[in-house]
Amino acid sequence: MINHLLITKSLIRRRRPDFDFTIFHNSPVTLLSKPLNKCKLALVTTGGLHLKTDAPFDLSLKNGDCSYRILPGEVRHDDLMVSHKWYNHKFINADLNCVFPIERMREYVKAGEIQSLSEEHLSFMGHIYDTAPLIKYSIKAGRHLKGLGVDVAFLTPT
Amino acid sequence: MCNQSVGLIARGIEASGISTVCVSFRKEITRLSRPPRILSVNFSAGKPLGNPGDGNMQRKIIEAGFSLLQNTTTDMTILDLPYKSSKFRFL
Repeated sequence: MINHLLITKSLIRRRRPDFDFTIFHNSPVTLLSKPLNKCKLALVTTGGLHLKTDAPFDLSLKNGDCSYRILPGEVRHDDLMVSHKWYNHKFINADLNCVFPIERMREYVKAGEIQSLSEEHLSFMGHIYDTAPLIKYSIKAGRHLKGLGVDVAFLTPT
Repeated sequence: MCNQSVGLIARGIEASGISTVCVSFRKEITRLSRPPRILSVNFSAGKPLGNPGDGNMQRKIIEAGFSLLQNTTTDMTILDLPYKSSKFRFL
């Protein structure tokens, strides 16, 4: 059986000998307090997406850019670009939804499966070596979404 | 790396009082950060919801996430999805 954990760590340590994964031993849990069809949903991706008019992620940072970008609720594929050089963009270029399933979620709102989508979604650039700043930014992101009345977040890696 | 980041971000958002579910194509990495709900998929980097244009696959994964969100859980739950995508050929 392939041990992806060891393989990935080994590959990363060729570039960053000091690297190790961040480990937690418990899970924060927020249970849904109402049915899904009464919930507001936000998408969050680590795909490095951002508006073409927004500042790109800084790929020169040694430990990775932990900041996030806001994607407006009405965003279209043509509005976006990707600043993330560690995955192949051919799939997302062909269909935004295989990374950021905004059109699918709009269908669920229309069908009444979820009540609404957030006015803002979030995008990180997930290639991060030093995770301490990322943890801080994730709490900031959570507060940001909470302020928008978001109940549920659906997250995708790349 | 993204499979670690997605779990850590889910933790921060969950701690803010928002229920989260995160997709992962390397669950052995994501699980180290113990986000509460993981959808484990068999896809490769760059297409966590399967091949471009495969709306049915995207719906299956999202609906599995909706199901997981409605479960009562007090600790990390991992749902292993059996779906596989065929090699995608660009026209």
